[in-house]
Amino acid sequence: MNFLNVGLAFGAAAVAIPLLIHIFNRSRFKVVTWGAMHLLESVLRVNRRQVQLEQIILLIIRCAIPILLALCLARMVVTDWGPFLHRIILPLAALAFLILVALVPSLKKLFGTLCAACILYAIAAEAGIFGGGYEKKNVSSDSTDIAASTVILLDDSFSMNADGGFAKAGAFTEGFLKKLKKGSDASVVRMGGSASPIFAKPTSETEALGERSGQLKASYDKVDLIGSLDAGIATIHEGRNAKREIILVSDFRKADWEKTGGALATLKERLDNEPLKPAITLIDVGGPARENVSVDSIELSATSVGVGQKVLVRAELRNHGSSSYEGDLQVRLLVNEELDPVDETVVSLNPGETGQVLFTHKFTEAGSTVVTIEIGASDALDNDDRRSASVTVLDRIGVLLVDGSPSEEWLSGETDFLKLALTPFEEAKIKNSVETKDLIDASVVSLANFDPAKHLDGNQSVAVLANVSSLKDNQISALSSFVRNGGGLWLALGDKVDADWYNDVLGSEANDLLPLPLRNIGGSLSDDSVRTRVVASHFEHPALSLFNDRRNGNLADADLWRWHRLGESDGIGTQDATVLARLETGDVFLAEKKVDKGIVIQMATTVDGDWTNMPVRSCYLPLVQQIASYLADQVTPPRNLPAGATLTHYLPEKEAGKTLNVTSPDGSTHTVKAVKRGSQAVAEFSNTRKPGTYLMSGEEGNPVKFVTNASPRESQLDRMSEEEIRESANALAESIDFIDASEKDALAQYLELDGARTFGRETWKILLGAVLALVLLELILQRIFGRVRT
Amino acid sequence: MATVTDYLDPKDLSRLANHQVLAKRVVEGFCSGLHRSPHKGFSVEFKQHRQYVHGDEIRHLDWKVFGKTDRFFIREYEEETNLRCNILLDASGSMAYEGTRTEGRSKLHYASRLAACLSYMMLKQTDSVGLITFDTKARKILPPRGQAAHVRNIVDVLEETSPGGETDLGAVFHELVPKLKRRGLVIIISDCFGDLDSVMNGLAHFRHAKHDVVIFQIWDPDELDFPFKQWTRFDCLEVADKKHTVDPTHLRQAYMENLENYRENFTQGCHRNRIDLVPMTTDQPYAEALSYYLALRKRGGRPSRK
Repeated sequence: MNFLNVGLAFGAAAVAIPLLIHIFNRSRFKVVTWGAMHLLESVLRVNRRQVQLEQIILLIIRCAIPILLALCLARMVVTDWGPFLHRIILPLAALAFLILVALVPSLKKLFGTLCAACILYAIAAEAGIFGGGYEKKNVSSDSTDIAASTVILLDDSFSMNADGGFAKAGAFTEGFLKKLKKGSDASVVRMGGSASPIFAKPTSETEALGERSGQLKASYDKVDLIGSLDAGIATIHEGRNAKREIILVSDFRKADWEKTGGALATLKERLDNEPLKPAITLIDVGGPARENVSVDSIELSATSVGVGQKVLVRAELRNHGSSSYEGDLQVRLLVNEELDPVDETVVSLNPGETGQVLFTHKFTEAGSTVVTIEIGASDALDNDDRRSASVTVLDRIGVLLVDGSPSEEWLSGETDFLKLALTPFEEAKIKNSVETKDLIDASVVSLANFDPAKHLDGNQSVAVLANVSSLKDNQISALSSFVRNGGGLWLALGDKVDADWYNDVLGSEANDLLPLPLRNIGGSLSDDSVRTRVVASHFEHPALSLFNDRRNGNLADADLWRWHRLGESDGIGTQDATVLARLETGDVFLAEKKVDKGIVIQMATTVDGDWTNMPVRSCYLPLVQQIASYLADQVTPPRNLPAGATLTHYLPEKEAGKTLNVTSPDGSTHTVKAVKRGSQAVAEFSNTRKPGTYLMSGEEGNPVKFVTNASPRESQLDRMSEEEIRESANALAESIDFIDASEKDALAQYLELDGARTFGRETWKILLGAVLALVLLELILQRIFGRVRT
Repeated sequence: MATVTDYLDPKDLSRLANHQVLAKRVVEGFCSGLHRSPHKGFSVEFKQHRQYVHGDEIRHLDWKVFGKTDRFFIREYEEETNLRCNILLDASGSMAYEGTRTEGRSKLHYASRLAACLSYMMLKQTDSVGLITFDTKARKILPPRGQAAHVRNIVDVLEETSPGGETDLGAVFHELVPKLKRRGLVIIISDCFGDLDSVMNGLAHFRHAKHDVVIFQIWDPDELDFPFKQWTRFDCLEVADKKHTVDPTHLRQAYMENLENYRENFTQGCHRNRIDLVPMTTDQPYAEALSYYLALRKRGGRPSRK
């Protein structure tokens, strides 16, 4: 026996109420000194035992009523006769015989024997001594006659568009939901990208759900099979009806079912533990793998480029089918999804092969831009014929490098490595055949020749003091003004640095340009044992977040032999300083301080190879570029993401609390709020299940464009055979129904299948009838038992 | 010490002032009163004519009849006597019952007031009244007297009477009949609980002795409608260890039917023996019930069972 509302079954504890009332009454009797005892005794004298029996019968009925009512409200479902017979029917039969004993005293022996026989049989059957031969007979209801709790897992990945698979799926879903019996509840979970139910909870408005399902489109990423099955099982667990079913409608591409591993076994265990196991039906609406060419990937030579700077756009194409393209596969480059391409070419692509196409493009305007590669091929699937990427076009950043230790020798100057890293293309332009421009325009001046009036002429966004010992008053004054007006200052320390001047002048209250005071120097150039490294932790800071992905380099790869130890708890100028990274010794490696509208970043070691080998490590270039970009307020989080990933946009700290609008690829708009995080405001949007371009915009300024792409594996239309599907599904459940909807109507086949199934029977009607009968019986018996006997 | 006014409420007495307790049958008496004497004598009220026989007194000849018929007839007259009444008061344990609606007044309390009232009325009309209290046998016998001051003695006996003991009406009646030498009115104030046959036999014995019997059957309202709802232990008032714990709701209907049968049988038995049965309940003012009964009796009617 199972219960649909198991919590209400505990209402059977109300059986204690009549018992307690009976005991309470028996113990709390009133004492009356009575004179007319002869009238009373003549009633009692007739049959005292009879009176006691009648009282017991009434008590049993009063106790049975709450028990049966609780079972009724708990919606008991029986799937076989056994427990129902010897727990419900036989005790009621015994009660009926007991009542007959009281009503027909002349036959009390016969009825008493029958009563005892019922009780003994029930006890023996419960103990398993004998089963009576009815254990295998199922108590069931015809599937089409009863209300159902159903979850439809609908594959809306874009591969379903091939051969009209999604149209078949939509027709089945809509038709099925309309045919559900009254009292049914249903849920539709979309499987593309991630499991996403149409309505948050199962609904009994199945027609409305069907209509919504009919409006869906298959334009999403590869199915999340395990996540969807997990969501389906969790939903069906809360089902309100005895008949429960999970229907999976998909095109069963091989790519969807591979690498499920032990996850299906875990789900199978959950299904086995369900008290009312749902029936599982798989409906295959897919067609045979057809001709398909896809754009598998798109790469940009840079995600941030300057105005007028060329960017290389490389795309990888794949021919999944058997047709051959001999120089007639058209490939176009589109910018900002305009209809006219900015460039196009034709390529050849043989069956089963991949090919690459390369475009170059110069952007004439700054702003967030989307470039798209589109192929002109008439194939089974249009959704994978284009792929986009977001690129940020920037104006160039002017960076002034003040060299505190210049040298004529190549790479011996303090800023040689830094300039090389900041402007790599400028240095390599003679060797590189492709004309490119650096994003950063770096200029170097020695400390001795540093004239703020000349060198900080308004074209600079960042100034770097590399191993500068000290500055003159006019220089420091100019720098202070530069920073306070929004400029970025990078203090790279070294052996030339006058710590006292830095602490007393640069870090004075008037200038306040030193994040942390200098204490002493750590490490040794001669003793290898005291070298240290940067601690590779998770970086929240925009200038360092790039290194959370190890493919961009690892700061911990570089050794530091010497470094300045910076004081953190000295009180002077430390209130606004933030430590961005540390060394393994615990000393600060990188610290930041906001000064009015500008930012000062302090690096504890040199930017050349004197104290560290970082300049020759792969992390050096992205590090200095990121720091420079950050200081110039130009760092952006990734804008090309897989479908389902969270979009992140940084804003100035003062914009925390502002509301931004996000426009999804389907045209719907959402709002997000920028929240303060650290020294800036962050806006995030995570509902990116649909691949395409997302626009995030505030009240002013150009919208920021993000692109989410589906997995290229969704373009692989290889399908599983029925045998393969059944074999894979066996890992989920032993008994699964399969419908091939490739040629026949899926709904008609389903109805035929469903007509042959049965589910456990609900018994609430029977129990309710028993409760009402007992209530009536109690009233009648009370009157009958109260009559005089002779 | 009780006073007469403890038992006789002036308001009740004033209400009953005009009633007389008339014996329905002719009873013996020894001095003039309101009641017919069974003896034919020469008194003020003409009864019948009788043919003159040698030896009758000539002064009793009815000369008018002679003038009409030329034959001699003697006028016979009813002899008025005063009533001789014995009040039998049941003081058994069952009379101690105090119901839930009578504010602590037991049946005996009620019966005592009734007995006092009746005594007073009869003494006022110069009838004789006596009092006998009993349970399984007679406890106290106060012979009938006609003096007005006799009510004091009656009140004293009522005062010292407390309920107790079992009931055996039949045996008591058989015991008392020989002690009541002269015919008169016997008023029984009791709940009449007991073996019906035995009681009827006792009553028949009274009637055989030519007594005029009136039974004032005293009920408590609880005994008539059995209002108990919760589990109750009924302790017998007459037998100490007789107790029954029952669910009254379960038995009520049976009890009521039993009660109905009992009362029906008792009423029919009284009717067969030409005994007036006056049921009274302790929540009803006795003066009211008594007034009703006496008015009915004067008209010659029979009281109906309430």
